[in-house]
Amino acid sequence: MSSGTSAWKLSLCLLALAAAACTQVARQPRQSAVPWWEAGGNPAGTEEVQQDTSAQADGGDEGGVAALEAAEPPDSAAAAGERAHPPEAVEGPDSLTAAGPAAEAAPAGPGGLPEVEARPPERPAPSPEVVQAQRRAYESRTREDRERVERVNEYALWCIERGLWEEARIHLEQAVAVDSLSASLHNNLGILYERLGEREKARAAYEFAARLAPGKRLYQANLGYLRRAEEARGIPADSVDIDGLPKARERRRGTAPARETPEEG
Amino acid sequence: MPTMNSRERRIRTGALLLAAAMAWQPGVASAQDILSSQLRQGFGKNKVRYKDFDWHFVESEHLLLHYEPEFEDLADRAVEYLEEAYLHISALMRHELSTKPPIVIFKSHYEFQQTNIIQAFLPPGVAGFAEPLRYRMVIPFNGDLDDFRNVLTHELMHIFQYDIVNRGPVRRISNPIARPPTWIMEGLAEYSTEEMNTIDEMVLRDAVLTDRLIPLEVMDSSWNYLPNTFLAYKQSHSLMEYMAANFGPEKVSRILRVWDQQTDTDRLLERLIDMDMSTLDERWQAHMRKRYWPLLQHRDYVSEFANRVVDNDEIHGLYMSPEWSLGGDMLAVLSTDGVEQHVDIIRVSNGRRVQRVTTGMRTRVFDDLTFGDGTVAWAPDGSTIALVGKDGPKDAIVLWDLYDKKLVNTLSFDDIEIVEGLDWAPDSRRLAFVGTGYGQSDLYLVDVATEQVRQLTGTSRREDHPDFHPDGRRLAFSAKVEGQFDIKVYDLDTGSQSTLVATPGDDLWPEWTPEGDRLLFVSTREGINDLFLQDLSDGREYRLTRTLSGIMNPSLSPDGQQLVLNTYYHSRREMYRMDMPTMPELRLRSDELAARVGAGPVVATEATEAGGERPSGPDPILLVQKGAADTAAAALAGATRLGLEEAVAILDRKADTNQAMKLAEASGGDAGPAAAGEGGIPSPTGGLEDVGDALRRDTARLPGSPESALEGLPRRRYTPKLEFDGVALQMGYYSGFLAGVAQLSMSDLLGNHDLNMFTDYVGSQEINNDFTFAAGYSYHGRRPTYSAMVFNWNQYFNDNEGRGPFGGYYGIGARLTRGLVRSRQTGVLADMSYPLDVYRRVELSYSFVDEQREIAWPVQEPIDGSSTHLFKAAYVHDSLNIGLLGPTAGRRYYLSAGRTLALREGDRNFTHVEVDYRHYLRLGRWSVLGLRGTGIGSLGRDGLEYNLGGPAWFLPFYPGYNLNVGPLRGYAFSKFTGTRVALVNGEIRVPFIRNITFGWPGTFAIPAVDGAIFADLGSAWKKDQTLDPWPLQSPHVEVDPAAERVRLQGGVGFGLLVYFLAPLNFEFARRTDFKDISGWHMHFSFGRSF
Repeated sequence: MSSGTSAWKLSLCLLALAAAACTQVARQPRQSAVPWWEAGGNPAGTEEVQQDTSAQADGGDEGGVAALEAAEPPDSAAAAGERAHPPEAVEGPDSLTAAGPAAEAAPAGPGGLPEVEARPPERPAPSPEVVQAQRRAYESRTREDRERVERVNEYALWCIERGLWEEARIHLEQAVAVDSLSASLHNNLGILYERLGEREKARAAYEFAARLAPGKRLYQANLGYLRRAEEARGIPADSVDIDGLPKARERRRGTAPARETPEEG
Repeated sequence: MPTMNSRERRIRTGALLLAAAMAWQPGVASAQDILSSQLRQGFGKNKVRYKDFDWHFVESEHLLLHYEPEFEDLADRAVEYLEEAYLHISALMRHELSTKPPIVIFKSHYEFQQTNIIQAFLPPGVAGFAEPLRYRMVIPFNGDLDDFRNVLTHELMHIFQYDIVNRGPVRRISNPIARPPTWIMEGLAEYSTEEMNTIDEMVLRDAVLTDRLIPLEVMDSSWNYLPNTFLAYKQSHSLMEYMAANFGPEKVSRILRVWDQQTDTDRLLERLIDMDMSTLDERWQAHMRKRYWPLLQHRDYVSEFANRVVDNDEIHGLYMSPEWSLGGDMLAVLSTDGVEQHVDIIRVSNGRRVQRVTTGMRTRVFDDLTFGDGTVAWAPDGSTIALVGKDGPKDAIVLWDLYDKKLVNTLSFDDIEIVEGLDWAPDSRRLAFVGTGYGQSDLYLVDVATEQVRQLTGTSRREDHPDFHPDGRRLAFSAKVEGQFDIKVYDLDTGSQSTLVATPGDDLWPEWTPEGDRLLFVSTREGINDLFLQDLSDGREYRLTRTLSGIMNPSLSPDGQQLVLNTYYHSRREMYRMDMPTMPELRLRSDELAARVGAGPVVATEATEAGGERPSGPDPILLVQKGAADTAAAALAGATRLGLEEAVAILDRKADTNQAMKLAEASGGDAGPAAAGEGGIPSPTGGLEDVGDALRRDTARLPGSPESALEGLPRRRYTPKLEFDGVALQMGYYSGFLAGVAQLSMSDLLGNHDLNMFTDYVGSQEINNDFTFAAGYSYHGRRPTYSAMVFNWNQYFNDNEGRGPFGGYYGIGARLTRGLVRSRQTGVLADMSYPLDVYRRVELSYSFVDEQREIAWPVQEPIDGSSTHLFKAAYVHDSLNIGLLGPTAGRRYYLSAGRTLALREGDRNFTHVEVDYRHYLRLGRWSVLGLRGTGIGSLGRDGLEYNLGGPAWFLPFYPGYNLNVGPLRGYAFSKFTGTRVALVNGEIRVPFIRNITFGWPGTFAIPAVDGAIFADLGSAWKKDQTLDPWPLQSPHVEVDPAAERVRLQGGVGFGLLVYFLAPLNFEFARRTDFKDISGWHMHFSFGRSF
């Protein structure tokens, strides 16, 4: 490696550090009265957030199985599961990346992620039967199920971007009925509940997502925002991270593998 | 839309060339013209002949009916209907036809589109046609026998009209295009059919109440450019009814005979009814106001209780067949802006589009979107939208995945050509629909995963609007019984049917509430479509609306709390959303609505249970309808000038008939095919199975009908016989020549065989006994079409090349006279075209042209000659929408390659390559950006030469074949010539005016005026020349002084495009060679812009 290349890389590193510092300064709570989904802005987070969260994806096999021991679906998800068939697939859309306006809105901690008030879950541990059933379901998941959940999640994000809250909610609840252990689904469902004013359901969904993927700070951040919003009463619920949004947008822009569309003849 | 396909174009080109050559000597067609016409590729969509028809015909007392034996039952009914219609019209018009009209029926619209009797593309809205030359009628079956009867009657009336007006073949040939005003022709035809239905009335009533009636003078002069033709039909119908009721039916009978003596409409009416057109219009409008304005007293505008979903005031904007999304935030709708049709997802809250599901009419998955009632359905699980598209010769159900935003599957079915009325089962796996295609329409169920189909009904009566019960085991639907729709329920487990709602009007669009204990439906019991709710738990019926306009396509939200519906308001179909009232509100509202006309609270009606009997005692339906019947009787009396008692008696008889029918059905005759035991039974287990032939035909005719109209009539297989289509004669005198050309056109009855013959006569003092000919034959009876032409044609012109001893002059006696050159062209043109689908085709051709030129007079001396064997292949794609002034959307392109075969020395030798690509991007509803790139290379020793320069195509009175490649505005027409041509065009067209009517001088309309700005860039050059590809030549580039260089030429400007009888283009352009720019040049041309 030539010395010229090394100097170039060093410059890049310095630039990156400077950018990170600037980003931290910029990450103050937004004062805009218009939520991003109504203003039509792009809530996509920074690249470093994506890298960080993709390295600790919630739906990975190990993370998912480990989370079973401490996880219990929130009421809504359980109810949805009862309405439909028992959960068969357990993996969340691990390819989804986490990012969102929270990355900009929250005070940043070390490493560029928002610093949140991460309380330990206070719920009792699920019964062994529940854990066993969930483990069986998790192990019997099929690729089709996983893909379907990912597609539903992506569709829900598409709805969220357009303010079609009820549409997104009902599809996510359906998806949770199929895969009750996808942290991403629960997180996004939590956002919808929060938006629709159902804060208890939102808290349960965030908590469940955080338990499923304890290493993913995104979900804890959302939980923190919710708590602060409850304390402040009136902070619009736009300070939430929507899991998977950047990828969905990339796909639509064509920077990610494009889905097939009807061609013009 | 482009309607001329290649075959038609070829024949016309040949005829034009030869006729032009003889009629106007300056436009001599050379071998180059003929070869260029063979190489120049035309556009146009294809009329694809998907099916090899097996035609038979039967001769009845008054007509010749052509049909296929596979739908003989339908032919049987057609003969019955037509003979009845003949007697009815004959009595009405006091006329007997001079000949038996040949009538052709098709079992579906898509087969009808394949007819060759008319070469034009037949869009879905065309219900049939009659042509005046040979009195042919062509009618498709659309799934409803009553509609079929009406269309047959309507078109037969046109045949009567032609016979009365034309009075035999001599008159027909001498003046084939003289016709009375369209409002009289169509008004009479509508008048001869049944009375208006509630949709017709809805349109007419809206026009009266919103003051949007079309002035009669405008209808008289500008029928073809009316924005609302449907309303014009209904107005014409109503005018005829008014004249018959007020001046006597004999006036209607006489109207065409009076027209024969007086073709001015004002004078015609004065002679007929002693008033002019404007007085008639005024009185009729007053009559209509008196008829409809009283409704304002006790009826509501829909906007009084519902909110408009889409805030769009464009007259052509249309949103219909709404379907709710799972979450209730969105609707899937059929939409059109007057240019393209789509399936859109719109937001319920503000009507804005969220997603476009289809890209209009140009996908590879299907040829065309089917735009009909119930051709969109959103699955209850929210993930899939089913829509209907035309795929080749029939409809297919196309499944669109909401998650992936793409089309995932296409389902098509043997023998089912038309699909409509889609409805998903609650499991989102089964889909119910109405299928038509074998002479009747029936209900079907398809499993979208396994694609297994189950036929549910098998009768000739029309079924429509299926709606699944929330339990997924029952299906409510509308079924026509004796001309009226009732709501029935099909039990999927047992295969039995029962009647659920049967009122004296039509009962349509059933919608189960989410709990499944109530049924929402539309009833026309008072002549206006209104919403009702039947509570199945106690049999009570509630009225939800009493509207002025009427209601169509109601759709309940998944939670049952909102309702979206279509209505007709301000001459367009509107979509509204209303809250579903709760039961206490509903009771109050129902009572209030009923009390408005003094009928008191609505009395409960009993739902007929499956297989059960009606309760004894007075029929509740008739009791309920007492008030309604009064209103309807008043309306009927007003419409037909009957006394009120008489009108009530008619309605009572009608109600009794219905009731008798329904009681008969309830006692056993109503069971479906499964319960009836005849005509086939679906799987006893209720499982899915393939469609069986047994269910397809309903051989049992309705009570009271004759056994069979075809019985005893001779039926024979159709054999083509050529008959005359027309004769054209042209005579001209030019510079000492008397020249005439005659054309004789023949075709068989079905239009599959076309024969055109041309001959000419040229006489002068120098030429005697010159007789030449050309004959062309084309065959369209199969999917590939073929055409061939042979010709031996002489053309004469003065010796302008100076070959005579004195520079083109010869000494005759003591004077010099101009020599005469004869150009003799002999050859064969053979073409084959194979349509891949509606939009794409492959063409092959072989042309042999031998041209010999000689001095014909005063000496006989050969000059030169050449022969050409030319082979060509081309691929054409055309998916354009075309408006009055040019394309509005889509794209078209072709690639054509030709090569000569030089068999002898002196034969022409060249290779030809030609490409033309055009793309039209919509910038708004009517604005369009047109882009075009074209290139021609005629390479080799004898390459053909093309022209460039001037406006698009047609200069007034330009006589010869147009070798001009395209518009290069700012230059003189055909200023540049070369064997190589390159051209790029860009043009933005924006609408200035749509549909403006002038009252002086005379009433006339200009339907469209557009403005345009354009830029053209191109050049033409020859073999030994080179093109500077870059317009701004660099001073540093070394130029070979020996090489002749040709520069690119440009033109920019603006234009005014006016449609008045034909597109008229006034264009102003400045030319530039990229060094200088000229002043303004004006061009005037005919024809649509590129």
